[in-house]
Amino acid sequence: MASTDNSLIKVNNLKKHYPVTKGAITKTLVGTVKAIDGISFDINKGETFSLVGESGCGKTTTTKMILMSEPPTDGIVQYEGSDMAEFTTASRKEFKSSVQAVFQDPWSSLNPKMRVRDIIAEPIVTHEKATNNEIQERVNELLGVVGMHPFHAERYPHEFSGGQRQRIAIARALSTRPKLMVLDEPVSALDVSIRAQVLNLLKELQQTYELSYLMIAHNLATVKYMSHQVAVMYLGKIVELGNPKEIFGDPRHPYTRALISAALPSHPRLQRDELVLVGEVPSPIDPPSNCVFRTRCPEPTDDCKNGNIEMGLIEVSPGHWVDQCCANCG
Amino acid sequence: MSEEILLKVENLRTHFHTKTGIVKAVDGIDFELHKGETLGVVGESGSGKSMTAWSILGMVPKPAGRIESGKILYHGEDLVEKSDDEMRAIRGTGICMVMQDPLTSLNPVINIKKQLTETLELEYDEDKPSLLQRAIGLLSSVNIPAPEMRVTSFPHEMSGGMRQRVVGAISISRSPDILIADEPTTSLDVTIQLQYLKLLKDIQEETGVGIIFITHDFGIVAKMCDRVAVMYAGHIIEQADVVELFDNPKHPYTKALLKSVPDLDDDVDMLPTIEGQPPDLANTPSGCVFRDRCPNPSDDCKEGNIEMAMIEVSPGHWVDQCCVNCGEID
Amino acid sequence: MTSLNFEPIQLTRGQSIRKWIKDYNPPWIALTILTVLLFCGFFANFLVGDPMTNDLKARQIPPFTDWSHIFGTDILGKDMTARLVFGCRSVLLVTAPSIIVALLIGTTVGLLAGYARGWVDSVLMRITDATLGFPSILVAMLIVTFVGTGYTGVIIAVTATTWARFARMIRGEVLSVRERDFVVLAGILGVSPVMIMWRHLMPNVINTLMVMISLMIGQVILLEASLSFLGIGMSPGEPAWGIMVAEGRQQLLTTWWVSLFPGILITLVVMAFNFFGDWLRDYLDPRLRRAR
Repeated sequence: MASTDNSLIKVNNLKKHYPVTKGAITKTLVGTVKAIDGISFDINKGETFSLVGESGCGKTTTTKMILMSEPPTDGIVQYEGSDMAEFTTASRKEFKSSVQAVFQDPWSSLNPKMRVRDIIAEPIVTHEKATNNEIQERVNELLGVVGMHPFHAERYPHEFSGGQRQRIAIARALSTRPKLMVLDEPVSALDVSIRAQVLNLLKELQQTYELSYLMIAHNLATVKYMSHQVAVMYLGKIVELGNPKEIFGDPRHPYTRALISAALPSHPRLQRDELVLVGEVPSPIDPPSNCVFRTRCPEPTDDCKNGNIEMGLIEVSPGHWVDQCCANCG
Repeated sequence: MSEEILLKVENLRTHFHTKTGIVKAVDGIDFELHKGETLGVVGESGSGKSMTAWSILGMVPKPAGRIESGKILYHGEDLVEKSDDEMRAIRGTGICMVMQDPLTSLNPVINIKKQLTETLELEYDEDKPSLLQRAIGLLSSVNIPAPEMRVTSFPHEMSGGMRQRVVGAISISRSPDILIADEPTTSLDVTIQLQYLKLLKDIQEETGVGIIFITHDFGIVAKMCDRVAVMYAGHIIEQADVVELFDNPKHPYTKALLKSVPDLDDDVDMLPTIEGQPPDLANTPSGCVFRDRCPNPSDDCKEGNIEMAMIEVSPGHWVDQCCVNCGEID
Repeated sequence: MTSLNFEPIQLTRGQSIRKWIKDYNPPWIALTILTVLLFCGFFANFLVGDPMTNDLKARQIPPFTDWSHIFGTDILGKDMTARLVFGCRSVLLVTAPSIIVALLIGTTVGLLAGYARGWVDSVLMRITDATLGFPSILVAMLIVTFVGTGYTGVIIAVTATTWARFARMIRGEVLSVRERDFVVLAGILGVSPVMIMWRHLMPNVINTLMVMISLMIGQVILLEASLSFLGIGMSPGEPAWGIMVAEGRQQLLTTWWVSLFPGILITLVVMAFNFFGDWLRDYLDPRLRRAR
């Protein structure tokens, strides 16, 4: 994969397999869930990298490993050039303070028993030695950055609307001046008129602080609006990767095309051609060998059907990578 | 679409009497639903769109909630006057609610035959074999292949798409003439959402059922609806045919909402946003409810002198009189 | 963001108390009973005479006949009023320490099991289940047999049979709270497990805990009364309501008041705690709070 010096996170051949066992006392291995099966990508500084795909494709598992809340089965994740698996305690602590997350549901992501001030200050308190005055100042500043007021600091989360709560969550994530923010469906729980406010805020913050985002979203229009790089995932693999213009303007993989065709139109006159894939996503327990998409591919080649083609991304145009098996499937 | 009117709502007001005051959840709305038509009711949370649905279904939470005035005419009868028992009968056979999550609304331990005949029994006083025939007929009407075999399977033996179709079959099993779908697809993956929307359309073509689609997503409106009513703070502020509404939105709120949604087919750097939040429904301003967020309120409007009332700006296109000339939000 | 850009309206203290009462409608009768219980418990020795003095000249005086013994006297001539009031004190002396100790053990076990999961959870919960599985009277009898009767014995016995209920309940709550995003986020942030338990889990189970405490107090009082009634609780002659019920049992037909009054008091206090617990559950419900 093309790698630039500008990368903050480098993911190389990352795998996460979960054993499926049977029996309560004597556990016998009956299979392996390949939640993620050899994916590679870079997240560049100051850019948004988005993962799209249906539930169960491995998006969330990927973010968990990048957030170090689960160890990978195999593969390497590098942060600023150093392997995360070989972090010392100190570098691990530093990493934890420079990677933050914002989750989908602003009703669940703030502790209802803590004041906004303490919520926003928690990362600071955890990672730095700061006096109460410094903390107070930082909290006020952060509230201002996300478009709220210092007197909101003394309130409890239930006094705020969903959009405001999401702003508080963003303020908390910003409080340690992170370099990477994981955004897991950051606006899908919000009202339509509030979504644009939050998306714009995230864009502005990215420009101001040179933040990198790793975003998960199922709304493709949101992904297109926010992203610099998009990876389409299917059954634990990346099947297409590139900038959003290429991915959404000239999709090469039939799965990407199916996803786009399922996106809702922006105008009743602009109905999309519906491309409905046959069948269902196969079970991630022992998925098809080689090309995982061949059970649903509209035009699989004979080689592919027999499972002779290995999966691997090829570059079809500069910066636009597609799985080699399906690059030419209709 | 025919001219036969299935449902006519006139000046409906549903209020909640709470400790903090009267919450005017729905405050004087009018609309009609024709046979074979899909009406989209769009609005943000708290706009009163769900409470409109509950009012029609006679399921306003008591004792706090009450229909204060207005008529809901269905087959010439006013549903507001009906007793709870009468409404229960109508909910089963005439007006049906579509399940929120089509994938989890089947009972996992009962087979499809049982689940279908249970509902059919309520409608038809027939013996088991003929009920079974009806069940099979229903399954084939929602395009389930080999319905004779499928009817004895359990939900877990079916694919997600199949289960959706079964849920669809159950919802039309007592041949209702109105389906109410309250945000039925919010939690679904795009491809499954598309399948579900298609299923509803198929059912509509087959049976001529009128659908009221409660949503906050203009994409779903563009995809599904024939007419749209935009709700804000308990009022319908604009109502028109779907193409007309997307082409010529008149109300500043509609205009801004349409623009603030990211578009997959278009590139924008920054989305326009609507500042502020919807008003507190326990304390709505008199006169025009939108004036706090209005880009260009007239002096009369600002002082609350203009009553809310719809005027027809072009055939079938109704807008609130106060804001028809208020221009756009930047 | 404009809608919250105003400072809250300040109410005077009197106004806010009245508003609070109007909004939450506290259970007055239960609160009165509990206040009287606390008051009598604390000031018993100022309110009445000695509950242990036998006065054989004034035995079995029926209630409401003699102003110096409003509630009558028992078979040894002990003043019932004094015994009933001092009974409040023994209720407090047994309930408070045993609830506190049971709470500490139960909460710690529940938090650890719920947060750590895995084998820690399995081991702790099997112990808890075993404790719950034993009939509490039986366990209490065993313990009292070894420790001896009197306050210490009763407190140990009551604690040993109640901590497990707290542990079970806390663990259940923790299991649901720990799945919420703010706990996950704290983990991602690198907040230490102890801090997560203290700052994020504990405050969010405390509502349930408060309700549980008020309901368990009733149970504890009943258990203590039962033990005393069976003669394995407080030492005979002590002014404990359970013992008084037991003492009156022999002459129920003649000196009925000896059993009746403490019986009524036990019922009243247990019910008061239950009412209070129910009210507390509603009061602490965040959904009701949000409507404030």
